[in-house]
This record gives sequence, C-alpha cells and structure tokens, in this order.
Amino acid sequence: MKMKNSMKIGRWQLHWIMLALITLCFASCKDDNEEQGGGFDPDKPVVVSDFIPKVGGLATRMVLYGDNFGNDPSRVKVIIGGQNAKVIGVNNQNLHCIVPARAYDGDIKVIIVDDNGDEVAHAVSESNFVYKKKMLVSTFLGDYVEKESDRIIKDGPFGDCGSFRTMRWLTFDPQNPNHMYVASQQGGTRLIDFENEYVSTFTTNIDNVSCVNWTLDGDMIVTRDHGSDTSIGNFMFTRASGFTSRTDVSRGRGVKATAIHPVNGEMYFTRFRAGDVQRYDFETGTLETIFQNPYGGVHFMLMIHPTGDYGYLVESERHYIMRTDYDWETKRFTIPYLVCGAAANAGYADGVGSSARLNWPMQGTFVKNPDYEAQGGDQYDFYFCDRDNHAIRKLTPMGRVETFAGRGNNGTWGYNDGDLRLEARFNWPESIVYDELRKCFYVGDTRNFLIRKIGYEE
Amino acid sequence: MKNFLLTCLLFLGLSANAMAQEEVTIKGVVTDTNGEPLIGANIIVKDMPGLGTITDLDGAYSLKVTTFRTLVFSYIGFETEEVLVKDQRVINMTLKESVTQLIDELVVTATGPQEKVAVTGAITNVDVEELKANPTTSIANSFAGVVPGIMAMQTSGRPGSVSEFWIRSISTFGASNAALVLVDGFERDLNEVNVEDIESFSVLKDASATAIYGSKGANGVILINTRRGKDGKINISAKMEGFYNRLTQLPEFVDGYTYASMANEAKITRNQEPLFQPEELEIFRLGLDPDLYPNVDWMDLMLRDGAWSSRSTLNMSGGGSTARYFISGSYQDQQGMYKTDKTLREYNTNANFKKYTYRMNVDVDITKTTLLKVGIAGSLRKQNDPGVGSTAIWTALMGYNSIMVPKLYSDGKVPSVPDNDDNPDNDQDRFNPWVQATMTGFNESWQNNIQTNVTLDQQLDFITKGLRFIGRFGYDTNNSNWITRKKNPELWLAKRYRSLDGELIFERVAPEVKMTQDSNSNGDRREFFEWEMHYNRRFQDHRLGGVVKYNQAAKIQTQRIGSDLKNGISRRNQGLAGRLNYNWRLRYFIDFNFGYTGSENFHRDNRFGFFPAVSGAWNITGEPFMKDVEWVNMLKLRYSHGKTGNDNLGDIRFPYLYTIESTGGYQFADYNFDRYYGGMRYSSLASPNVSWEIATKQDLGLDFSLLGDKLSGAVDYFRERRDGIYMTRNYLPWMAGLESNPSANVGIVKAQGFDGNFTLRQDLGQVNLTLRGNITYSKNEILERDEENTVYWYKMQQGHRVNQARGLVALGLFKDYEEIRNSPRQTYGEVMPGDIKYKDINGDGVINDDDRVAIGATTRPNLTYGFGTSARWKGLNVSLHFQGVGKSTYFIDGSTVYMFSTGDGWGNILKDMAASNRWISSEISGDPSTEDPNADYPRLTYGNNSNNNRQSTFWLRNGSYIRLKTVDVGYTLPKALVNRAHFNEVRIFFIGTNLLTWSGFKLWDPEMGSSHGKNYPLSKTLSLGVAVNL
Repeated sequence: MKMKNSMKIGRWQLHWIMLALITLCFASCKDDNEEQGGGFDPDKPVVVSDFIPKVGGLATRMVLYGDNFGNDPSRVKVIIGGQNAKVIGVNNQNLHCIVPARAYDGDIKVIIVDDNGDEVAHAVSESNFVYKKKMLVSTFLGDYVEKESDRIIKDGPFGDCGSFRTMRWLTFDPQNPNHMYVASQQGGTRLIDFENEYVSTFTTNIDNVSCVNWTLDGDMIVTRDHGSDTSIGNFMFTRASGFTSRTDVSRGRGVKATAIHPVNGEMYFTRFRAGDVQRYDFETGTLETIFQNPYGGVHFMLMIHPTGDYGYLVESERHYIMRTDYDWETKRFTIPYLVCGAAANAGYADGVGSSARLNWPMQGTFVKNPDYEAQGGDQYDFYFCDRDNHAIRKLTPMGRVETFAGRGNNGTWGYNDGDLRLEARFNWPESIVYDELRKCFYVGDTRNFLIRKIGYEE
Repeated sequence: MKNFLLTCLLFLGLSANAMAQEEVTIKGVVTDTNGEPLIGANIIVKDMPGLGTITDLDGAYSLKVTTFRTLVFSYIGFETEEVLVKDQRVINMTLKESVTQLIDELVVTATGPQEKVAVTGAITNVDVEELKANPTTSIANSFAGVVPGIMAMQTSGRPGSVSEFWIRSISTFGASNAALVLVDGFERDLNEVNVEDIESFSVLKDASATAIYGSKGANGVILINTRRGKDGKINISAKMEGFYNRLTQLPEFVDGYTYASMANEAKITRNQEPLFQPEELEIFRLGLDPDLYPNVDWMDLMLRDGAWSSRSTLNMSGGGSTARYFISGSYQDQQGMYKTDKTLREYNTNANFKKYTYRMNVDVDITKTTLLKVGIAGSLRKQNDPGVGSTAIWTALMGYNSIMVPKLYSDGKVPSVPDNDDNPDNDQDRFNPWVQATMTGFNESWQNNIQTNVTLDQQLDFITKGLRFIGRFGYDTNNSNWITRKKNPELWLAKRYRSLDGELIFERVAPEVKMTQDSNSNGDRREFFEWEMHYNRRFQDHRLGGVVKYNQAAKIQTQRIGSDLKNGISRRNQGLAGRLNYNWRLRYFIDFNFGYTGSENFHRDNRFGFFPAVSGAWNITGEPFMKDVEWVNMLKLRYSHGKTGNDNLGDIRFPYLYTIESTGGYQFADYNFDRYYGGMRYSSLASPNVSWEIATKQDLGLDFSLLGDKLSGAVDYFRERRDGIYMTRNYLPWMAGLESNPSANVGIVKAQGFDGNFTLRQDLGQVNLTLRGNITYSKNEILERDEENTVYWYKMQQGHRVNQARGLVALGLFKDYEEIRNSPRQTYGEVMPGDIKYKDINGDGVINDDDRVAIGATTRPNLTYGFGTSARWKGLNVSLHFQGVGKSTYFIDGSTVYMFSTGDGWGNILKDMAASNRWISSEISGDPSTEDPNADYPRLTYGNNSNNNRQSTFWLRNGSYIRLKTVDVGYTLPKALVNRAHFNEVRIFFIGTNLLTWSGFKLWDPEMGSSHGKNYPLSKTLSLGVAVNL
C-alpha cells in the first residue's frame, strides 16, 4: 500500500510539471528590443545638421541634431566658441550638451575621439550659436552640501570657507569696499575680505546680531536682537580702535533693524515688542519714539534712501512695505504710508502698489538706475529679499513690484544657478547688498547656507 | 468501573465467536439497465472498512468475503444496491440510474435540513459545485452573480483580499450591514472554510428563516455545513491547480514627452509661464538626459506580466456504520505581482499569500440512537508585503509620473521625491515605487485559528415518537500576528537644473535607516453552547414539527486589550428560539418562528427582545386538481412576515454607561501657592435606551419546477423596513447643554426588491445542456435620519438611497467669456472658457453647495445578475458564466483623474485621458474646433482647479459592467484508462476567470468601484488543474 502511494505521488509530480509547461504557454514573452541605433561608423561622415536654441548664454541646454555621433558621451567632444562643452547624452542622431562660459564666437564643432582621446572625425555646424552675455545668479561663497551632517562653519580662503548660517544682514564697510560683513544670528559676524579672498569670523562677543551699520564717521554700529527692556540694543565699535573697542549706544528690546541717516547722521531703530521706531541723537544722547508702527510684536525694519529723503519701513511679518518721509526741518521721519503689498496678506504677485503681494520681505538695498537719469526725480530702485517667496524683488520709485531673480521655472524654493527668472532658485534669501565696485548683488541665501551673487558673467 | 471492563471483555468474546464464519469468493458482473458493463463500480463489504474492490474493464469483479455479510454496490449516478451473501458464489448486479427529483431536494435551514417542498421561508440552497468553479482564495469572491440574493464586489486584487458582500440589500446606514455567517452552527469567518470541505451552503434571506437568530439575523444569514464521512470504502480525492494571474486592467500612463507637453499646455492655457523650454521638451523626446529628464514606465518596471499561484487539496472520507470520518487539508500559494530585486535572496518582499487549512470531522454512533459528532478545523494564513505595505506602493505607482525621477541616478544614487506632509506615519509613501517594493524591508503577517465542535444527537423516541435532543458545544481561538521590518536606503533628489558647469546637484531626501523591527498581535476566543429539542411526527394527514433551541455565545478579546477594563469583558449573547410547523398532506404549510435573544451590550431594560415571524406556503402541485397537469412538477407559493434584529453597533461597548474624564480646573490659591482643583466632565453621555435595529421583513416567493424538472427556479419579492438604526445625534441644539453627542436608535430605512433564479436542463442527444441565471435587485430609501434641516429638501439624505452619490449637475463646458458672463455666478474660483458649467438648481443665480443634488445611484451596485451555461458530452464538460452589475455609479477623482491637480508634479496622466477629447485653446492647438464645449475633459490647469475638480455629473461614471466571470472546461479521462492506474476518476480541467469585461468605463476595472483606480487591480486567472479520486 505504501509503495503504491509513493508511486502515485511520483505521478502527481509529473502532472505538475506538465501543468507548469502548459501554463507557461500563456505567459507572454516580452521582447526587450532596446533601440541601439548603432555606434559611431568611421566610414560615414559626422554631420551636424541643426541645433536648438539658436540664442543663449552660459549653461544653455543645447540639443544638436545630425548623424553619426555615436552613442558614448565620453567619445564625443563638443567645442562651442572655442570652449569645451559638457556632453550630457548622445544617441547617434542627437546630442545634448551644456553651453560653456565665454563661448562668444558661437561656432559649434563636434569631434569624435578614440579611446586615447585622439580625434577620429569631426563636423562643424554651418550656422553659429549666438552667445549672449547675460545676468546670472551664481554661487559666490560657501560649499553646497548634500547632507546636513556634512555642513561645517569655518574660516578659510574663498573656495574653502565652509557654510554660512542665518545671514540676517549684509553690509560693506563704506571706507573699504573690499570688506563685507555678514551679520548672523548664530555663530557671530563674518568678514568677507575680497582683497585677500578670505573669510574670517569677526569677533564682537555679541550674540543674535540683527544688523551692522555705519555712522557718518565710519564707526560700526552692531545691533543685538534680545528680549530685555533693560539691555543694550546698539553697540558702537570705533574705527580708530580697529573695531575692537566697544561702547554702549542705546537700550533697545527686539531691535530688528537699525539705520543711520545718511546726511544728518542720527540713528533710528525698530522695536519688535513695542512696535515703534526710535530715534537716537548721537550729539545729545537723547532717545525718543518718533512714531508707532501699526502693529506691535511683529518683525519690521527701516531702510533709509541714500539721499536721506525717505525710508522704507519693511513690514516683514505683515508682508508689506511702507514709506516714511524725512522732515528735513525737524530732522525726523514722519508717519509712514503704504507703498506696496497688503497688510497681513501674504502672497506672491507682481504689480503696482497694493496689488502686489509679498511674503516676509527682509533686507533691501537701494541701487541707482541709470535709466531714470533722463526723467529726473528718484534715481534708485529698491531691491529686497522676499524671504518666504524665495525671490529677490524690485520696487521701483513708482511703486511697481517686479520679481528680479528666483523662483526659476515656476518653482519656489531650491538651489539652482543660472538665468535670473528661468532657472535661478533661492531658499529663504534674507539679506542683500549691492557692490558698487564690482557692480553686482550679494544675497544671503540662508537655507542654502551660501552667499549667492547676481551679476553679469565674467 | 470493574464491571464495565468485564462487560467489555464479555462482548469481545462474543464477537470472536461471531467471526467463525465461512470465507468465500464472490464473482460477478455489474451492468447498467441496458446491459452495458459498468467500469469502476464500487463493491464493498458493509461495516468492514477497507474491504472492497472495483469492477474491471468488463464490469467484472471478484471479492473474498465471509458469508452473511452484506455487499454494497455503488456507482456515481446510479442507485446503490445491497445484497446479503448467503450461499451465492456469483452475484451479477444491475444498477439503475438514480433519478433524484427536485421535490426531494433537502434544504438546510436554521433548524436542520428540511425537504424543499416544506420550506416556507426564502432560502437559497447554493450548488457548491458552482462555488468551486471560481478558483480564488476566498469563497466570497465567487458569490457575485452566482448566488441569487447576494450582492458582492471585490475592491482589491491583492493576494488574500476578500470580497465585500451583503444579502439582498443594504438596509441600514448603521455600523454593520454584514451578514451572519455560521459554519457548522457557530459564528465563524467565511474565509477560513475551504470550498472543497463544504457539504451544503444556504443563504437565509427573509424573516421567517432568520427570526431564530433574533437580534443578529437582520442582515441575513449564511449557513455552511462541512462535509462528513459516509460509510464505505475509503474515498480519497485530490485536486491540484496551477494558476497564472494577470491583472485585468492596468492603468496605462503617458510617456515623459507627452506628460511634459501637457504640463506646458496646462500652464500656458492659464496664462502662466511654461514649465519646460522647447529644448527641454526635445531632451525628453530624444531621451538625452535620463537623470534630469527621465522617461520611466513605472508600471512596467514594477509589475510582472503575471504571477503564479497554486492550490492543492486532499481529502479522505470513509468509515463503517458505527463511525465515519472526513479528513481534509489544503494548501494555497498566491504570488504577488511586484517585480522583485533578484539580488535580495535573504528575504522576499513580494506581496505573497499562503493559506493552509485542515479539517477533521468524525461521527460516532455511541448507541443506536446516540450520535456523537466531533469536528476540528484550523487554518493558517500567511501574508507577505513590502516594508511600506501595498497601499503605499499603489499610491506611489499612481503618483509617480514618468518624468519625476529615474529608477536610479547615473552615479548610483537612489532617487525619491521628498515627503509632502508632517505626518510621521507615512514618511515613506512618496518614496520611489521601486524603492518601496524592493528596499524598504518586508512585513509578515499571519492569522491562525482552531475551531472545535462537539455535537451530541440523541433520539428520544422512547419518550415519545419523533422527539430528539441535540446538544452542541464549540470553541474557537483566533490569533493574528504581524512583524514589520522596515528600512530604507539613503535617498536623493537632483535639483531641477544642472550647475553652471553641467553637473547634477543633489539634495538628500531621506537618510539611510537600518532595518528596525516591530511586532504585534491580536486575538480572540469564542465559546458557544446550544441545545435543541426537536419533535417531528406525522398523524395521518397532519404533520407536526417543533423545535426549541437555547443558545449562548461569548467572544473575548485576548490580546492588546489595553487598560480599559471594558475591553476585557467578553461580548455575550443568550437566546431562546423556537419553531413550530404544521402541514396538511404536504399541501398547506404554516410555520411560526421566534427568537428571544439578548445581548449584554445594552441596558438591563433593553437587553432582551422578542422577534417573531410567521410564514406559510401552498404547494399547488399537491392539490388534486393539479394531478393531471403533468408538465408542472412543483409549484409552491410562499409568504413570510416577521421581525429580526441587528445588534452590531460597531465597536461601541455598553452605550448605556457614561464616561467621566478629567478636564481643566482652577487654581484657587494665591500666587506661589497651590490649591488647584481639577474638573470632571461627561466625555460621553449615557444612552440607556439604546437597543438593536429592528428589521420588519416580508417576502413573497414562488418556487417552481416544470416540464419534468427541466425548468426550475424561484422568484422572490421582498420588502423590508429597518427601524431604530443606531446613530450619533449630531444636531441636538446647543441649549441642551450637552458635553458630548449621545447616540440613539433613530434612523429608518426601507428597502425592497426582488431576486430570482432559474435552471433549464435539456438533453440534446448525448449532450446534457444546462442554462442558469439569477438576478438580485434592490432599492433602499432613507425614511428618517438624524440630520440638519435645510430649506432645500434635496440636500437631505432622507428620501434618498443609503450612500447616494451627490454633486452638481454639469452642463458641459463654457464656450466663451460671453457665456460665462451670462450664466449664474460660480463660486468655486475663477472660470475660463473650457471650464465646467454647472446648473443652478435653486435658481438663485449663484452656483454653490446648495446646488448639489442626488445624482446617479450608489457606488455599491443595486442590481447584480449572473447567467451561464454548461454542456456535457461524455467526459467533456464546458461551462461559461457571465456576471454583471447595474445601477452603480461612482465619482472619479484623485491625482490620476484631475490632471496636474496637485500642482507639485505628483500624479500621473492616463493614456486614455490624454488621447481623449479635451478642451484645448485654439491659441495652443491652432484649431478652433478643439474648443469643444462638449469635450470629455475640461481645460487643463496646473494645480488644483476648484471649479472643475469637484463632484458633479461631469465626473460621475456608470459602474455597470458585465464580465465573463468563469470559463470552465474539463475532461474526465475514460474509466478504462484510469482504472488501470487504480484511479476511480481523473479529471483535467481548465478554468479562466475574468477573461472578458464589457463596460462603458474604460479607465480601470469597474468592479473595484474605485474612485481613483489606485488599488491593487483584480486578476484575470488562467488555471489548469487535475482532480483525482481513488
């Protein structure tokens, strides 16, 4: 009986195998005919028939059409305007490369090389690429790190100076255009030395620095943002002492920004909790409230026009900007009024005055616009960081808000260099300064931990 | 004790004497009535298990047997004959073909089997063979279109998933509309029963059939009895099947270039900057940068073309006249559809399912009148899943479009988009699908249970004739356990553009997580006890029967009971039920059934309820005037009226108790001192009057069998009113001052419909042809529900179906701005030509939520039907079964339907939708005819369009479909062949399920009833199998 059973099991197994074989017929066998397209054929000429786009600049993504490019990106070289272009992908009839810097001549040459890198064949495009020098966002200082854990804060030469944290304020020493200071809430103030191309930590022994300003005499005013009514808000470091001797200037709780009148030299600062603007007179040592901000307990900042005629009250936490005119007789700023944005209405929209929408505007800088010379009047545009919109916005004297840089390709935050509006992205830009000497902007891109630069490519 | 042993010895001695009989060899030939030899007929010696033989090719047999034994001749399809061996040496036997008349059919009812003619309630006896035809892991999956009176739908094709089903109609919006399932008399999980173990399967639908179950019977009852041994030679049958499963319909998505072009269109058509520059589209089209401009077919990457599964069962039965047994075991293995990483050999991340079951039923005749039945059954169900679980994978598969990220970056980094919310529970749901399926670890879960029954059946004829006692005891234990092992690799996302020198810039999306594990379990135990007294007696023309039944059941959660003492208290029910039936000459029948049942979940005053039902039947064929009407074999009219209840309120324990919890207090002390007094509040109010739902049911039915049983069937019309549906009272006025919303039995739903089935049998020469069909239709209406009053009556749920779909009525798409200006104002956001225009239902000139009305039907079908045919010719049989549903509508929505609605690049575009007619601005297409106000889809939007993306008739789809559910082709090998190999019968069969589907809805499988198609699709199965009988 046992024997019989085991024989039967054997037969069952046979059934199983047959079953499996038959059922296999139902399984479809998919052919993976990957398109090979063939490699480079030395007997055939290499042809560049066309390319797009016809016009562009540094880092333009170019697609070349033609024939016999081969399929190996490492065996194809593309020279545009005498410069090596990086080849990203190639499939015999098409090729994708990145336009290199300074490819001014715009002639396109495709070279097929062998294993040793020696030329085997080449082709030249009949028409030339039009290379335009354009304004770009680039990474000026700091290392982009992929992981948080790799981030280090250190002093060092440009190119090896670690990362930057919470860049609240950027400012140039008015008497030394090679020294830029980066005020940081954490980790102290940094000094960028353009002459020696070195980044160092500028020791003030003050924590929570919200901004750094300069008196008409060239002394440094360092502002500490703290939460005590009885502590000092503004300190002075005299130039004579090499910015080492510190004196207390005024008390101040929650000072988010300080500004020195560029003509008369008195000091103004905004207070978070009290929600007012204070005026300090260096000559008399008097401190007074000149006006009350519409909101208390909010972050707002004052930035004064280079002529001293007015200042912008940047209402960061309420997403709008007001203007306060300077009364030259009383030497005091007057009650402010709306310039752009809508109070407590965050958003993103370009437009004029109250139709524009902002989201946490932060530091701004006045930049002279030569286009305005002919028409007279105010000559300056105000470029400011729209932090939560991850963009640099521009406010014209006529009250029009435009997006100057960032939010590339319909995006919001990110890290991308390139064309100001098509590609560039920031992540929480908080501070901006214009470098009159080098004719470019520097942007404290806080959540990318980098200093970005906006200017024409070199 | 000593005496007992002595008595036993004495008996043994006696039986030894009885063995002293002569052994002889009996020979003979077994033939049918035409004189043809029957090959493989069984000849056994009665009460001598294992002793027997089968006839050879000439129908001849030879058997050694002692005299004065009885030989039993049997053959499938023939009547069994018995012959006592005296002095004959040759016994030639002619077997007659068995003719079973439908009228003799037995129907299993709540109080045991009954002749079909005597049944007065609406009970469907299901042919178990029909259930076997659909090879799935769960019996419930084969209900739809097979069992009249049951509506079922399978919403997921994940291995191990089961269908949702309900009997006749959903008649409540309360916690449960699930039917009561009783296996061998006790409440048990349907999916633990192996279909091969089922002896009988019946569905009790009306009040007279279910009143006995009192407060548990309102949603209908399914009775399953498992197979038991029959005396005779051991009968072994085995069945093996191998399946190849393919997904019925897989959503197909557009390629990268199409997606990018449409995204640009969505941007441009709303006056926004395009997402991609022309050269970027070219890079997509030519595939020149797979890192930043990928084109990944995730479906193809992730899913196999098909998966294998197998199923084997083996069962044996036999025994003698004193004891009989049935033993069975089965094994199922279903493979998941995911492609897995072959390099991961240590463990399997696929969604696999394995199921083992066993069952042993033994019947022992202790005395001539005492029968003891013991049954033990168990099952183990094991399931495997990738670490993130199958739901997350399908979400990602539908969310990841072809241009999102590549499978792997060219430098080997593993890509993924970042998590989009702060919910820590689903941090992994946006991982790239390939990562989810292969690199997130794996989960194992298993459920095992053991079920035990002991039944004692004692005839009490010595007290009075026709009296019988049955006692039943059972206990079940269920355990489910799971171990999750999660991990993930370091994940990266490349920034949108390369750096100025052409290098990729990465951002780390998630750090590597080493494998962590976690385990947990759940369990419960059930105990049952019942006794019944039966009385059946015939007094000439009068037949009288009665049953009294006492039952009690308890269920206790045994694991994870937490700290709440209520969870540790078992859920108990107790009841007394009875039945009284009388008929005169099998012509007029009257039945009275009642249940007096209680549940400890309710307040003392509301704990017990009385549920009576009365029913009657008139067997018209029994009338003398029908004697001459030969073409009518049976015609019976039935009517029943009665009450049953539903005490399933969900997980709520003791609603009659209030709960008090701590709440804020007050610091009475002065500053620096402490005199804080906390407060207490009612966190839930006591609802002492809460009780079960009461269903009042009526049923009018007709059973018929005509033309010599060629055409038979039944039709039933039913009405039901469900009162006291338990629900939270959300709209009590604030001035009542209640801290929480109490619950009460306030809802009323009525339902009515019909179900029916027919079978037509016809022999055409040697071909036996059967045609079958069944249909179930129902419609329900909410008569009362606790809801807010509104000036617009159509906004109320009252007066509509349970779960009625509602939305705006779409009038097509806006043609131009002129039309927008001249139409009622739509308040859901800015509208442009090509956006959906809605109907102003209340005529107030504004389109808002007050214009939402009931549209379509419900997601769950209100009509289910099935029909099929089978034919048999010699050993070959073919059967086809079609199944369909109607009166089902559902909205489609989600990221696959509302194209680009997430606005962050998440979501995919179906090929069908991309290829169909959508409204395209002529400025983009260059063709004014694409501005079609009757287009299938509105003007594209990048980001959510709150005007278009909302429930309206525009997105309402008809869920009706009809499908070729099963095709069954089998061939029984000729006897002559199989007998040589000592087999009784060998049958080879092919079964295909879900092979063809016809439906107006094309985007995904309509049966799933899914609004977004993001579920594991159903399978199309091809299977080959062999069934062997020894």
